[in-house]
Amino acid sequence: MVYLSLTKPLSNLFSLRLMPLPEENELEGLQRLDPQAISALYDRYFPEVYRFVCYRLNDESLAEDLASEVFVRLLGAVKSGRGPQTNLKGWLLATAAHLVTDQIRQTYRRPESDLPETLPDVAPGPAQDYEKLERERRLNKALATLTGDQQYVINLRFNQGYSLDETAVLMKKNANAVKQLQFRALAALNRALGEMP
Amino acid sequence: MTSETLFDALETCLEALDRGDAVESCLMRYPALAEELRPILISALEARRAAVTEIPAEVAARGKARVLQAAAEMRAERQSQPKAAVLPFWRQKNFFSARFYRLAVSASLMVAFLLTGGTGLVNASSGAIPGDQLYPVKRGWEDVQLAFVFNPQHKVELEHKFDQERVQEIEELYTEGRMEQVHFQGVVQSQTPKFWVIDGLQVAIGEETLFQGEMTVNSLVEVLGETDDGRIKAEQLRLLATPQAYPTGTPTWLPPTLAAPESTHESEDQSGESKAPAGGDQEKQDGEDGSEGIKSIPPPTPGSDLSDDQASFLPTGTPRPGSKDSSDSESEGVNAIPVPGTQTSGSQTGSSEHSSSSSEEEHHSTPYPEPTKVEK
Repeated sequence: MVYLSLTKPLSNLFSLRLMPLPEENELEGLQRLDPQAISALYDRYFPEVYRFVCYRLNDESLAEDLASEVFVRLLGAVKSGRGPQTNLKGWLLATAAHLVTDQIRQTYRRPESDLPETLPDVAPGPAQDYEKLERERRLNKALATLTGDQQYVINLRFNQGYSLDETAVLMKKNANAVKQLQFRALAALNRALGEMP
Repeated sequence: MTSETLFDALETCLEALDRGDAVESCLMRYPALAEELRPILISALEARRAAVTEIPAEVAARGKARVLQAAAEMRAERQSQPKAAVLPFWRQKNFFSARFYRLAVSASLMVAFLLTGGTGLVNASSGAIPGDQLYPVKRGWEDVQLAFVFNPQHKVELEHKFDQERVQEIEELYTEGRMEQVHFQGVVQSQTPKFWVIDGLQVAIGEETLFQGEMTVNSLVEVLGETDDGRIKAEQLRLLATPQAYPTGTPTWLPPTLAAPESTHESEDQSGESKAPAGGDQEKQDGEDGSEGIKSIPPPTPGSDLSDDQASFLPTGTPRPGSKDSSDSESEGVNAIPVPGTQTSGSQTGSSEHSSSSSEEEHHSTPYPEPTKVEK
């Protein structure tokens, strides 16, 4: 009797792994390098990846390059058998985070320049846009002083708008750990912003 | 007030901000924490204000073009390389993950059994077929059984039994018309460009099929594929052992197109088998199955290094890695496999000279090198 009663919950447990996830189907298409599958996957995840990258870089053309680079890396990883098995979105965003960090590191190695006089007029709308740009620049500088995890959690929660639980899944942490992390991240961000001129 | 409630309070306030509440109204809920939370919430608002919302359509389009271009280059590169080099098996997580998963399941089951002293779940899983919820339990239990059998002879016997079980499971899947992923080992019995017969099961070879190792007729291979309309679409094929000459029993498989009751083609009566000389009883039974292909099968060769008992444990036609050859028996082993769906069965009953120049063009010849075992 004990076993009979055990069978059901255990079998449910197994079914969690055995049922093909939508992501698994997507990954099968990727392995074949099927253009349709790649196209569908790109359409589904590109907006999130792009927003994630753009938030930190504040440079649309660079963000565009890096966001598509994330997908090219995914293809390469899947092709060589090192791709994600589950949590595809988590993999994409983590890769994006690495690329962004590398990019920012490279930028810091070069002599930093403030907003140049000849900044291209991306979206004309003088003072308001300048203020917005300046605010974003400050935020980015402040974010750069945070740890990788702190930057990641702020991006996921406040830029991407993911819930606490979604963020926990993507960061492979439990919800309580994310609560603590976001508190410390915001506290650090507050300090960094306060120290800026 | 503990830190834990501070973190919880922040989360509650953030959710309230999301709903459009003002900072101060959020803080009114936590007057004791208000001073501590206020700068944090202001930072949160600052972080949120910079959120990227607009994605220009041309940005997405340009990025997609770049990704598809990269995919096209990778496809071209893959086509220019031999398939086996593209995805080496040892670098593929998927291929072995099923086995690790099963072992993990079975290890936890072992603990459960030790604690409770029963096998109810295993019994419940005994009729499971691939895709069933209890199937991992069944396979895991088989792994456990194999791990605890130390007598090599019994181990071979058990492996043979499980091999038969795989074939039966797949036939059940056919009967039920289910498409499920299957993973089994078997002997290549015939090869055509599009279809191989492995342990009596028709395996469709497609462009996507990945090969690991040079597989010829009589090779022992590992198959990962999916059942589909009475055949298995192969995804990955891996060589486990090259064919080797030994006095085979009789290949008792029947091509699915020729005979209905393939599922019972191999005798399950182990005791009956073990008393007979290698393949003797089985051959007789197979003859009764009515296969035309069977006529071409030569009798087993005496002088085998294998004892009768050992030979009877081998899946008929299965070259077991590590079994020894005697040179004069080599010819028999080579000839032992008839070709399903092709003619000239009579021509194969001859001696070794005919063996490697098989009359079927599409069949690979089998040079029968020294037995080599491929690392699993």
